[in-house]
Amino acid sequence: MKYELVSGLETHVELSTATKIFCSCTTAFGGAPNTHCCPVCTGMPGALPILNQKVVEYAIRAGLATHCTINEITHMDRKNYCYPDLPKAYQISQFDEPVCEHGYVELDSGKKIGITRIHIEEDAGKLVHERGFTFVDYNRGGVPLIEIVSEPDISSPEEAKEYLEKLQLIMRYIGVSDCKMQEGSMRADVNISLRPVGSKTLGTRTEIKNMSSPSFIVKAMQYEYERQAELLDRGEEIEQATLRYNESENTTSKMRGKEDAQDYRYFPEPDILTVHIPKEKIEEVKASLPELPTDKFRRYVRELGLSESTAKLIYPYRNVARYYETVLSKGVSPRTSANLIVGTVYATLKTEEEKEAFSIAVPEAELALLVSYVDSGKLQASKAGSILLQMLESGKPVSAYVREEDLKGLSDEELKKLCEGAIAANPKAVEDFKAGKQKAIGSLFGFLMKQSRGKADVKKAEVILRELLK
Amino acid sequence: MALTETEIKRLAWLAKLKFTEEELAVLTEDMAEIIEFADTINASVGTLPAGNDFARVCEFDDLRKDEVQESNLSEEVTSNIEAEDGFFPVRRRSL
Amino acid sequence: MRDTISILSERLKKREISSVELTKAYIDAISSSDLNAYVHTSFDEALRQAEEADKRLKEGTATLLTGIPMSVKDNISTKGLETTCCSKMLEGYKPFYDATAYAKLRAEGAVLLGKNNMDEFAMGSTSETSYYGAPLNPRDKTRVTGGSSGGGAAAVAAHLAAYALGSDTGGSIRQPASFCGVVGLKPTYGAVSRYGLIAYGSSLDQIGPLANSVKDAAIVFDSIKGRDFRDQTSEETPYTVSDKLEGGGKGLKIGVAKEYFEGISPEMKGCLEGAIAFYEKEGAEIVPLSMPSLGLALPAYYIIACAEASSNLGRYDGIRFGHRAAKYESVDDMIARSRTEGFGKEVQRRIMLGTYVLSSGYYDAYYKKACTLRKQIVAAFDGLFSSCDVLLAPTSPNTAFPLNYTGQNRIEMYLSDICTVPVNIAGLPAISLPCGKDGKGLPVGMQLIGKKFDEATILRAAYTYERGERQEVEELEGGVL
Repeated sequence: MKYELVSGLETHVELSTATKIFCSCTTAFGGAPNTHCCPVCTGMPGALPILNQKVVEYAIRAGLATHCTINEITHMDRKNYCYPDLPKAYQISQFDEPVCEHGYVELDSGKKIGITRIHIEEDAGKLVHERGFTFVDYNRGGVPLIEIVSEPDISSPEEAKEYLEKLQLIMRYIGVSDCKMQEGSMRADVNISLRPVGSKTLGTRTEIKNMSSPSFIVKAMQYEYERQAELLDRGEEIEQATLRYNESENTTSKMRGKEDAQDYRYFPEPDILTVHIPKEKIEEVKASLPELPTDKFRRYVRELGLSESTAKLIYPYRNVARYYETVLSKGVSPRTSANLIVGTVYATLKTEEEKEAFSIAVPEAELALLVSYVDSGKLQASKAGSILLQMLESGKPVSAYVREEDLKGLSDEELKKLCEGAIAANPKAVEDFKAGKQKAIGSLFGFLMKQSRGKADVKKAEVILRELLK
Repeated sequence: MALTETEIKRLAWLAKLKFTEEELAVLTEDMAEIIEFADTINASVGTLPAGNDFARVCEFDDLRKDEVQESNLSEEVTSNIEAEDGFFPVRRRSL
Repeated sequence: MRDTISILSERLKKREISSVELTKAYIDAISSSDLNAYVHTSFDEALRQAEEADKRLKEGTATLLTGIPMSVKDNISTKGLETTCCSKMLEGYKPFYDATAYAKLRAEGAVLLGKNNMDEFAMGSTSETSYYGAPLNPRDKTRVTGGSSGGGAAAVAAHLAAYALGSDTGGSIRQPASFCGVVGLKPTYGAVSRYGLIAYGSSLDQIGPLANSVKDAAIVFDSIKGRDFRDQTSEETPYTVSDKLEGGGKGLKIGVAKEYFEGISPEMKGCLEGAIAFYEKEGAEIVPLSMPSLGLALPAYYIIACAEASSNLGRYDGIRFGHRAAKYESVDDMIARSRTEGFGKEVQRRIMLGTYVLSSGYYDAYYKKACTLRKQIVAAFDGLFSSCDVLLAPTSPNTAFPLNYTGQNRIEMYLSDICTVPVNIAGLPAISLPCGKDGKGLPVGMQLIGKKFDEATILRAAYTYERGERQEVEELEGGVL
């Protein structure tokens, strides 16, 4: 039988605030064990949580960037479960009044993946299992997270990957997270169920926990799809379970089944007051949002006339886009500028991180100057490329390689004289041309360029030559 | 709504408490008594006039500002146990 | 004359006695007492604090509380001094920070004698669930002190501390105050920071003073109240109350809701009627009222308090502090065994009940309903306070129980909180003060309940009664000196 995949993602994004969500301890990565801790984030008796304003603000930002409604009244809840990395035996999270609800993320195809909700919560600590011991470190405990819950709108592993990459891009763009999956600052739980194509009822779902790479998500989903399809084909039932993905074997394995499912016993957190977010604040955050990635992509294509492929090479990198737009602010050609960046500058950047950082030796104004020479026909694009490469290497200005006066064109008078000279010096070519061989004019151009050391404007020269040869 | 021993066992698992079979029997009775008392709440809630939501609200502007305060409490944090290299150590199985 | 803060402070300032001498007198009294009012003492540190206080007294930078020896309930964090909630679970636990309320008193130069006995994790009405055994009632040593702040009430009544800090989740300051014949103030929820108070029911818990006079309670309240950035639920109260006690009874509207008086003994009723007559004589207006939802406050209270407790007590896992089981099979097993060994039976029962009322399938029937009821009780109180300034009620339907009294069943014991819990449910301030004796010579407590953040009015009413009516000298009076 043919099955269609129904999937939703719960994505945890670590927010890049300076302090933890409920105390003034630093969120800095690393540090000796339990050095970024206080009574609050280690769950000491009598300690009370104090909500960080920035966390709420970042959640609003994330919500607005994904077209969510922001709830003006929002409150925290306790999610009760006991685990050694959770010092209070409850996680302060949000249950029925999250900061954001009802948004979407748009894929390149135009398909919208619905966002059910975005809520704020605290991260847990870290356990190190060694020498028969479990060692507990609460430095990460209390680091703020947002959990972005999607609707089950995802129907292929590739869509899941694209959705996640889009989300990552948006969060980086709006500056709420660096979304480094390697450092665990973005993780996703993937829900998967299958149903016969055309069916409307949802199948039993499984959940793959804690995925931290888009490419592994694709593999895990493919594996889980096959596994479930095989079971269904054999007429067996899918067991509702929480799974773990094994990267080295590319398999999923059961962490826990329905029978030992937790009962989180959510209830309103009595230690934190309900928060009122005034409309004006929401407007203020909205006004402070940068142009979002999808909007930027569209503008590059529609207004700047870039090809989709070129636009896609620029817009995902916030620093590249910023650099590019600064170059454009000098009034030069968008396409020439884009081509020089993508064709020449990128050749010198080896890794994604380097592109991400985009710290290059050529200031925006220098590149703009170079582009302006190309725009005015004074410099050929290929020549500009080689000059740019040298500039990237040396850090020297454009003027070190080409001088403005060298680029000055010939006067019409001078050009006419040169043309006359060319005709006089190439009687054979002139004869051929007059006999009808159009190509023969090329030899005259070659002579002209040589004589003028490349300064001659070919188009103008052609007009003059044809006039003289009439 | 009296609870069965199975339900009590599940609650004990959630609450991270352990009971012997004997204790469970006593507890089941105790719980029945307490729950019967708690059930009195169901008697007349509906007949009372609705109350206002009295939850106090904190304005966004009054939330804590995102400024780091060095606590330098690493030694104190682990002062109630025998720490190891700054960690809270738990032997995975008692000796 | 009782050893009130005002009198002791006066003597300290006149240099009739030093804080060190006063502290030594209290230490001697504690050492020779058999009331079991203290579970941890800090005498050496107390003497050091007294020396420091003497310096301040000499320099003239002293306040009313400087150099006055006091005690703190064992669930209020005191840096470096054991804070165990009278539970095996926290045996040996020493906080590395002070509770804000205690820190404020220390900043004024208060001298800490030690930690008072209490019901384990404040769960109880007799202080008998204490891991350290029950404290005894100084009025009658065969009887309980009440609870959960029983040790503090006994210490204050027996002059083993000039005053004490207690906590009140469902009556834990007021009920022992009434059993031991002292004054106990439960402030408005949010008036005093809860930072450092080891949580039982977070939306109900409040720290307050146990004292020998209304004025003392007001002085201590003035010192500990106010907004604390470490407790978001705390609020600034705009004015001091200890200078607003003198207003008298004239013009006060005192409400009397008949439901509060159902089932109390005729002797107790007599005491309270005497108080009502006193207020009338003083020019107050007595307003007869009714509050039909009063009885429902009790199940609502147990549901909410236990629900919150089941969550609050989850952190006792043996990993960072407190009891850790010696024998176990896995980390998870260690946690469960430590909790089972560390918590007493009543605490375990309340954790189980709390887990139950929050569990899926039962949440709506219990927890959610209790929250709805809570709103209705708030509305009912609002209604009452639209026609009066203060509500007058008994503090408890009983006077002090005999030790080891179990009653008919557990529920009968729970029912003894019926007069105190509605105040916690609604977050209101209330004071309990002595108001005569029953046939057995046991103190009867009168409770005065006020509007939110209107501690001033209940204190004024209480002070008026104390000055006018409580002239007779009680047997334990005379003080530590």
